[in-house]
Amino acid sequence: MVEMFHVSKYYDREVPALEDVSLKVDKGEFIFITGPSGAGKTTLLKLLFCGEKADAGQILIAGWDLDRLKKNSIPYLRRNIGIVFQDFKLLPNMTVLENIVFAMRVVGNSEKEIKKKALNVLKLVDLMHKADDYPLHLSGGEQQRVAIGRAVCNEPTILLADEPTGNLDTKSAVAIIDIFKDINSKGTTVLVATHNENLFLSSGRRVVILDRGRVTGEGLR
Amino acid sequence: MISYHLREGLRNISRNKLLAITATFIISISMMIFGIFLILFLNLNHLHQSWAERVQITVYLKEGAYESNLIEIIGKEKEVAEIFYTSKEKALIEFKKELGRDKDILDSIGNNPLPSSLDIILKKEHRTSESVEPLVRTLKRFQGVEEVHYGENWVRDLTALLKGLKITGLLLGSLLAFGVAFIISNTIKLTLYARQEEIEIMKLIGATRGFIRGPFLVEGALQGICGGALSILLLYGFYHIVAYAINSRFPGFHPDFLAPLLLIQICLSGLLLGFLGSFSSMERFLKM
Ligand SMILES: Nc1ncnc2c1ncn2[C@@H]1O[C@H](COP(=O)(O)OP(=O)(O)OP(=O)(O)O)[C@@H](O)[C@H]1O
Ligand SMILES: [Mg+2]
Repeated sequence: MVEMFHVSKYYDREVPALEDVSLKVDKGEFIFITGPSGAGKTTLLKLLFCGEKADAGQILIAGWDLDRLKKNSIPYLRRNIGIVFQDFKLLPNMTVLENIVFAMRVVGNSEKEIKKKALNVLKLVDLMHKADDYPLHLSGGEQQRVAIGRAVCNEPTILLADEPTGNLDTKSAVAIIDIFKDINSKGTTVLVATHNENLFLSSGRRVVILDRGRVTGEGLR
Repeated sequence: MISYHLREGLRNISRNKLLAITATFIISISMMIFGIFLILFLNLNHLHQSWAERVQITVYLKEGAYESNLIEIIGKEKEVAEIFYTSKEKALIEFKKELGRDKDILDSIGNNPLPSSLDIILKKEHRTSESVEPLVRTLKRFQGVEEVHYGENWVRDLTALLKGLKITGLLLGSLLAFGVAFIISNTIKLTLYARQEEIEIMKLIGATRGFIRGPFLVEGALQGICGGALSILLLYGFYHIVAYAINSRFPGFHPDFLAPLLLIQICLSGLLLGFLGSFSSMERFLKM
């Protein structure tokens, strides 16, 4: 599903953000990427959804070769990738339901499809009762669940989450991970970048450790 | 899909009504200035043409010129329909008729001072200023021609003025068109900044550039066409006031308003300029 071969990324600095990173993630896998602050976790995810371009190496994702991807194909790549951020990135002037409907409309779903799917998505993230609330009236955990709903509503094959529980308490964090597990069990490949060990300790999932841009360890936890 | 872009475009406008109204108003003023210019130009042009339709060229002959020869050569010019010869004697008789009671003045001169002349009637399709002036130039070169009269000085001045106005109009038009596109591109820029977050999210979700652009193009095009329509209303008011003033001083002279087709073109050019202005803003914004 995701393959990285000797990928490096340099911003305008001497220290590389990523250096010679190779990684293979199978279809249906649920994998964690961890490491200290500045290790390159966010950069790695950005490369995967074409938020940044790699300076060296090759990346294959969901059947696309990012090196050969034309600029106007990026939107179509992203429809296969759901993205969740630490700061949720919800639109404050739209309700929970509207935020999700917006995402479905943007990629050209018919209104009929949207109506049908949106409620299922709300059920999935357990927010039926908050459908008409505005994001700023929700707790952090609830807001992140809206963001997850928005990320998965177009049924991506891969879900990328960058520090999804960074702003949440433990209980909310557990709920988020449970939703990821649920999504993963339906066949979606999940990549979570986090420095919070509690998310993956005794999870039985594969964990890749980054440090100063290099892969320094990998194993099941 | 179109309805989405339309709805979102309207939402953009309603979010910042004051900005949209101000911009539309400034656009309509710019377009009105051009419209006033257009009205002026077209009416002068009309005047010029209607003069040309009635134009009669009179060729005065030199003493002792061979009129039959000249009639033959001039008759070969493609613009000429008919030629009437007036001899010296006939000219004198007619002149006397015109003078009426004062004709005695002429008797004291003795010799007939009037030249013989040819009145030239043009074919219908050649009664335009474009045909008249080259013909007059040709006629002047013929042997035996003393002078060619074809209207008064003001007509010649008007021809020159119209030429000048045409160039000025082109310059003014392109300047104002540029201004309109600039105004719209700037108002669009402001809405773009207001919706930056939304656009960022749209990009991450996988919206195409075209989809992101749509509402802003609608917004720009709407402002442009509204500006155009408003300018027509303003122009119409202006035209009425001026036409009234002219009419009370020169009864019988009715200046024309712009033709319906031209009005539609003004609206459409507003639409196009709005579209282009918005597009240029978007291009720069989406690159970031
Ligand atoms: N846009 C950028 N421009 C320049 N340097 C950057 C940029 N983004 C990240 N970096 C640098 O690249 C390195 C890796 O950053 P990255 O954000 O990928 O780390 P991270 O593992 O996500 O850290 P954190 O846990 O704090 O989020 C850091 O040294 C960072 O300063
Ligand atoms: Mg990070």
